Amino acid sequence: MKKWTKLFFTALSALLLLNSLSLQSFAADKIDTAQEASLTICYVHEEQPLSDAEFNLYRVADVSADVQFTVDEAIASYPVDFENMDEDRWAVLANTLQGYVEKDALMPSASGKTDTAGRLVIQNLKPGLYLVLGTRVTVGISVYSAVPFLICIPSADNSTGEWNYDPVAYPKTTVNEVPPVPEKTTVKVLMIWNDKGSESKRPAQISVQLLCDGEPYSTVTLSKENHWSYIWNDLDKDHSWNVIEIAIENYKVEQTKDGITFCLTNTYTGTPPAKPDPPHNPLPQTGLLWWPVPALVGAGIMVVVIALVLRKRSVK
Amino acid sequence: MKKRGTVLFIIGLILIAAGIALACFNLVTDARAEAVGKTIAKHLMQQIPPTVPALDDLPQSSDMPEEVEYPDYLLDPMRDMPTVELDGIAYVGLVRIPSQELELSVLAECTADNLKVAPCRFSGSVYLDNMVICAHNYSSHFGKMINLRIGDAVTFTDVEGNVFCYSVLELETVQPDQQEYMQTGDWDLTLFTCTWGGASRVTVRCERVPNE
Repeated sequence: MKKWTKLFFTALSALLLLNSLSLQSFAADKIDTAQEASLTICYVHEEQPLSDAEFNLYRVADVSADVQFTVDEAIASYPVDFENMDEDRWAVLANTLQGYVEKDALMPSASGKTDTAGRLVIQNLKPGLYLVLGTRVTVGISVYSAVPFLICIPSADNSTGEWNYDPVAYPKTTVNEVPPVPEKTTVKVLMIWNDKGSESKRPAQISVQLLCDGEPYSTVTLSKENHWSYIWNDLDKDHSWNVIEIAIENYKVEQTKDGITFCLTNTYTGTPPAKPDPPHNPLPQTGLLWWPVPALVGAGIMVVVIALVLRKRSVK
Repeated sequence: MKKRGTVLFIIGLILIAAGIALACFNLVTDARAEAVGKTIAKHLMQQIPPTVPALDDLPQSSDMPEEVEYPDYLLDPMRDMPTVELDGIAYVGLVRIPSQELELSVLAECTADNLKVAPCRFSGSVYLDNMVICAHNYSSHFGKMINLRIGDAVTFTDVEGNVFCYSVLELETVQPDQQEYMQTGDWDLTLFTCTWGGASRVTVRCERVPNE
């Protein structure tokens, strides 16, 4: 169980992306942790409401009256780093947590489906930090997916300077067309090591699971031999694919996706060794010994000439 | 006097013979390095997938299509350069200098034994634009490098088939104790070898240019 306070402010930053609140004049009182809250989700893509989309809320952390956060026990067991968060890392954290939450089939704290206006109101929420995951929804030939996000409830309402116990979120959406015949897709995983100076602490190999709609589908071992990467081909595009790694000691993981590649960045959490002084070896000798050739031949000729002169004089 | 002259005569002949022997040894070593180098380069090329021009940067995330595979070096520029092993020795890629009709494999580690086989990566990474490659001054390795001109093309192909193009920017002479100077600076690629006398290092500095 971990407590951290800075999380609060960055949690608000995450919320800022969703409902255009500003932190600048934030001056709220203590949080009333006994007060029930709600979250309204407006799921709209280019003014088109997306109905019948299911959203699940997972409680990530409790929040105290003086804005101290305590990570939920199940979440705290995952190899993710909650320290030193900034705006960019919130989205990465939500992505990373999604894989573990789905793989372990954690029970959501609350869930519901959007109505015909693309609106979903989830009530009776306890104050805290929530991970919000939406399921895919098909409308006509388009498949819409909600980008996972984290939200602090209550959130700060900049206009009033008060805590807003009923915030509204507008999830980001990605859209793909449904192919007329089932299409295949490719998923790649790349292990990235953020452990400069502590490379010796890396495991020789690491197991990575490919999840199909949250269920384990395939497990592979990554190592230096396969350049810490693997590609799965011919996967059914109709399913949702995700990648998680099996936790390794002294490393925290973050997941991002670029193109077809899931990048799993492992950051060393132990104490890095003292930086050794750079060696001051001279540059390597990279030459054949040519200079003695003319020296030897030249000296030899001179000695021979001298010898011939001496012999000539001795004959006289 | 006559006996002294005869001794000196023999010594002179021995010196001449030693010079000729050393020259022969160097020529044989050079020829052997050329033959070995060509064989290794040929085998290494068979291990490298079809070449692809290297990209300078990832596209902006908003323009990034979902179904594209981006090269690993763009997703993780800090990664160790991948290697291919031939006869138990690790190679990081191939360096080509078209103006000298050179195509040489590059070993991952720089040791005295490795240098006898092929050019070696002395330091840095092609993905971080700071790689330094050194080689013996065999005529089949970097021995003719002093004849390179500003603007001459150099390419490096990693073992994943990514091709990085460079243009010669500067030639200079570096002293053996200037290791730090050799490895620092804004040059995207550096090649060096010994001068003819072996006392200094002929150094070629290159800048990265777009792939043709």
